[in-house]
Amino acid sequence: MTRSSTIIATILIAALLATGKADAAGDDYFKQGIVPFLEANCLACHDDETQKGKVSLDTIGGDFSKGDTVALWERVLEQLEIGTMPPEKKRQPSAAEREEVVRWIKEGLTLAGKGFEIESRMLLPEFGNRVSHELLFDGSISTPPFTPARLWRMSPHIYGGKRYQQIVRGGIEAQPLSYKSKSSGLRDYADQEIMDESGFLALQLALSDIIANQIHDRELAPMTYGPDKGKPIHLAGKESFKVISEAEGQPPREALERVIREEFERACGRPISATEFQKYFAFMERNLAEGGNEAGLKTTLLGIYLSSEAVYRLELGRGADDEHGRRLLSPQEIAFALSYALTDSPPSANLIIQKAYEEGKLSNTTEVEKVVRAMMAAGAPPIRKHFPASAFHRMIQEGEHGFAYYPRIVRFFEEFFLYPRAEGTFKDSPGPGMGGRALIGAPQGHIAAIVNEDKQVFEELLTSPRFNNSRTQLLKMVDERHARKRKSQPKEKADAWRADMIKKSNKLTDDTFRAGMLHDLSWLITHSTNDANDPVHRGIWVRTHLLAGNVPALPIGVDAKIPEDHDKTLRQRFEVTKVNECWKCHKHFEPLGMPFESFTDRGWVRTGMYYSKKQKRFETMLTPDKIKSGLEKDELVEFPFDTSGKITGTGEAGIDGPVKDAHDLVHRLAKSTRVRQSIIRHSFRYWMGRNEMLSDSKTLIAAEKAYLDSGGKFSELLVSLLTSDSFLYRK
Amino acid sequence: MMTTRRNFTKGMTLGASGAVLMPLLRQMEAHAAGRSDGFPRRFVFVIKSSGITPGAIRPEGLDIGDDDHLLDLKLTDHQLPPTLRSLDPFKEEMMILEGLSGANFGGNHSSYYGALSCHHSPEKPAAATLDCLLGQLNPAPFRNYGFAPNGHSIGNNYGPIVQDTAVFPKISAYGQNSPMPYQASAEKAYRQLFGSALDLKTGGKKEFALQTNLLDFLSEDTKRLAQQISPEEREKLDHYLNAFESVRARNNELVTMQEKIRKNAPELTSQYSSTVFTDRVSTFFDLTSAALITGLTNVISIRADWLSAKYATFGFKNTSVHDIGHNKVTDNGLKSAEARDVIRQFQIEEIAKLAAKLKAVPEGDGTMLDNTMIIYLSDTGEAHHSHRKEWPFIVVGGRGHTLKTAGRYLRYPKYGSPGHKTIGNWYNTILQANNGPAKDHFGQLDNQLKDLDLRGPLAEIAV
Repeated sequence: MTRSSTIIATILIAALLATGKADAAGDDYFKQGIVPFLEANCLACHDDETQKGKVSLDTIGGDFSKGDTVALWERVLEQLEIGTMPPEKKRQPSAAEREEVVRWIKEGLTLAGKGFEIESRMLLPEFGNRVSHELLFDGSISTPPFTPARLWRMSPHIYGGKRYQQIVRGGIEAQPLSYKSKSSGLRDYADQEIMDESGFLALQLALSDIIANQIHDRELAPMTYGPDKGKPIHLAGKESFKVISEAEGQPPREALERVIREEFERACGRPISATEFQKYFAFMERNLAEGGNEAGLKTTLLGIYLSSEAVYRLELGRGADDEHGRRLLSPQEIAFALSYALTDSPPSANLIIQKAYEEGKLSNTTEVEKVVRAMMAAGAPPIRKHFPASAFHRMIQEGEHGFAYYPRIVRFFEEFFLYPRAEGTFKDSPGPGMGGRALIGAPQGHIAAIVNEDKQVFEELLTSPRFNNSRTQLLKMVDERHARKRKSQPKEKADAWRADMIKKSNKLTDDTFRAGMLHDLSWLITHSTNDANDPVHRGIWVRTHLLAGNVPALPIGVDAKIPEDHDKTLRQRFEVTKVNECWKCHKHFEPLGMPFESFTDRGWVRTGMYYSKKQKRFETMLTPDKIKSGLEKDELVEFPFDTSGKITGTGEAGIDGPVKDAHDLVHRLAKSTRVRQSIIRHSFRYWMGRNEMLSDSKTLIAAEKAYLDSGGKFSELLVSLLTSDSFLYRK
Repeated sequence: MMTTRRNFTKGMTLGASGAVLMPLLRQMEAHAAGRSDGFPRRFVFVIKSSGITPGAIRPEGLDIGDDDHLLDLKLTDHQLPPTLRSLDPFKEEMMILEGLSGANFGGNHSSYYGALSCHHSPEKPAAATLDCLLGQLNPAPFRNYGFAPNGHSIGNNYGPIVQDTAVFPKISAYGQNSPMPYQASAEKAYRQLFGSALDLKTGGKKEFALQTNLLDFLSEDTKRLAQQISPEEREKLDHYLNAFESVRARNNELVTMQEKIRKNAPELTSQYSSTVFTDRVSTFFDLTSAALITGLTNVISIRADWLSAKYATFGFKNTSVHDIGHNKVTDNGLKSAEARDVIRQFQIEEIAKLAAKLKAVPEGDGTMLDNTMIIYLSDTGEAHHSHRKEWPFIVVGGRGHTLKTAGRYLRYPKYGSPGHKTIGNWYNTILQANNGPAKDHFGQLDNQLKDLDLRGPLAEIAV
């Protein structure tokens, strides 16, 4: 080609690529498909004449080659996707109509070069709720579900589950893996987590340390406290390592073979194949020859621990495509998927799964269901959190054996409610120094008990009165435990224990107000600031986690701070958000967070708002006597105690509307269909390791049915999810 | 590195800092390759916990008055305060910098990543920190190296005072969600930095040579897997392969430096295995001077202490830095301010020793100290429970760094007054003087200061 014709060709190609401009057919579609939508749903407020919010869609057009048009359609997309437009009180398009316009806008934006950005953000945990709730559950979608074939980097928990490290001593174990995801909460997404350079370096460092610690016996500095204070600590090296690293001359061949087989199985979760073995053995021999026994062993072990299969799980699907182009996971992949769905260990550590795999009984959905049900029935022993805790909290922590104690199930609720974060919070509000760490065990125990009881699990989690510090309830628990202890212990011992518990119970209060996890100290403290309640973040949590909703992003340049006036109640200070420019977003979450004014920021039940003139602050730790005398002496000033709020966005009669207080709020939410479906969506994300797509509709509908038909069993929900096409098929 | 989908999977396109960072890094690498003056720009960040008391680092007897105008004094006209006396020989090469704020980078007892990244990030890194950015701009076999006695920032009061593994003190990060590990073990750091050229019982030359075997093996293994999977998923493995390549590149560089490493490696004394807190910190400084002189890295970050640290050496083995921050009297009767003086003096003396070692090495027309900027700061501003409306810095060395830091006491007007500036301005100044891209500001701006002009570097310091 000549130079000028190259240039012309380049310009033409560029023009074609960049066009974004609707061709004749596209023009028609805009006129027939999009314009009527705008007319019916938008133009009443957003025509040139009215221009509500300074937005006019009168002449927006469908020409995505124009920068202004693109920018305006991006704003429209945002409002449609998160549901803030049309406003609640106005006529709403159907879910299908909305979805169609969203799809069309995305297509246009893709032509304008923004395709990658909008597609990839839908993969982020924080964007999961953007998929149309209505379309997911209304039964209109019949696509056969699947998950894209993928590699899934091991989570920090799976890394720990490989048990590379023999002993964790004091301090912190440097966790070399970190989540790349910005999200806190559900975030182990296969498409977000990768092993990159910084991850590799950190992992290599950690593994080098671990190997070095096991390659010989060693002696550690003595403990500085406790019963063994001052005594030197001897840690034996690993036998299979020492026999090589300490060998004079060539180590015995059996030792080399053994270490390769064992460590490969540890790293990859399965036995090594013959060809792989040859490879690793040759690698080992070379390293020993070139570097000596110790360095040679170390390098070989790193080669095993850092191999890609040790770092990434494979979920590719094997075998032939079915008529929809999907492939079932191979039996081995299924074994791993099930094992890591419930535990942090590979299948070899799980008898039920391992047996099924070895017997060739993991090759279809029926067989998978059998295995999952067996896992549920077998259950797991209680996890004991080693935090300082009262005698009663300890009892709650150490609940009954059951499926609720599978590590991954425990962790789902930890990431969903985020309650463990209460552990690290410091409080500057009046009151004792935080015993944050003691707050985690009890709610974990309560949640596990509810899940093990397996009846109306969501409703129980949201409204159960067991979250009250109730002397009566705890004594009942003591009696139940005592009865069990009598079966295995001498009478005197069991009776003595019971007497001790009754004595300790004298200081307990008898709350009755609390209902469900959202009234637990840990949840309230996690979602609070240093010295106050946090209706914003609490409201956002409720909106996103329980109502499958979205919240507009904080606009750039907005200084979102309420006044510091310490002589006004929090609600009074929040009056500043009522101006339209704030309220148009705040209305989506603040009314959901305000009812928690029923509690102080440390989670204690409030009976009123009392300001101390002397201390110049609101008092939160007053007994009824102190309140009475304080008011009489005019030392305390009583302020309005307003715990009202509002539920919006369910569209369900009897659910949407004003709420009186935090008790009212959770009881109403627990009755909502949308809330149930929202929790199911979050469960889906956790167990699939990704956001839902519209094609997962059948899975979600089946999961909801399983939950409802069984009277609210979480076990049935899990069986449904783990036997679904979304879980088992790849494309 | 192309900006492809894989870079997105790092979560980098959302959020202002993320979207800007990729081109930033590429630009910086290009600039770094084209540096003209021949001498590396070196930095040592010494980050202490619990704040630096502004009054205690000010020249003796200095009255800052109303604090509403710039104070710019020659240090040689003044006497350094008692705890800074060990820096007397360096008066003409140092700067005391006060008055800058970082009020919008809060956190529980620490700004954590915020202190060096100017992003509110007390839990996960939101953006690359200054030390990691400078490491990118001044490449060396180890782009950055970090020393920290412990991985906690607050930590518990019961664990070991010094650890012996890689740790994450939550101070430095390569980028969003990419925390930088620090090494807590002096012996392991020694091996990692110098082992490639030395005959050691473990971690020495022979073991180093095996790394090539390891990288070859892992590369081959990863490539084999890559062939079995789809193009999209293959990108994940590309990241992994890139990691091997960058380690390989570093190892090749180390091989060419064998002589220099052998010559400058420090002596492995018993202090390296000591678990006494101050010993560990001392060895970190030891390793720092040796690593810089050898040219193994150009940017080192030293976590000088952490809140549960107990300085048994100075008679307070039962009183932690946190306790002192809460005005507890030490075992040997020192009140909070006095105990803080003792700690600060120790840290400054270590800096002075480091500076002396660098000054003893001629470089060009001057010394290595001219091309090395030691920056002393706290991860939490000006006090234990700080408001961060001022954030003190002491800068030693770096006269050759095209910044006007030599021999000055500089105090910016107080928070909110006209002329007040932030630590973001200061870090921006440092970056721009080091071939960082010209940017309006570094990190997040303080909304409370939106009436001030906080654009650009600090005119008083930039050249």
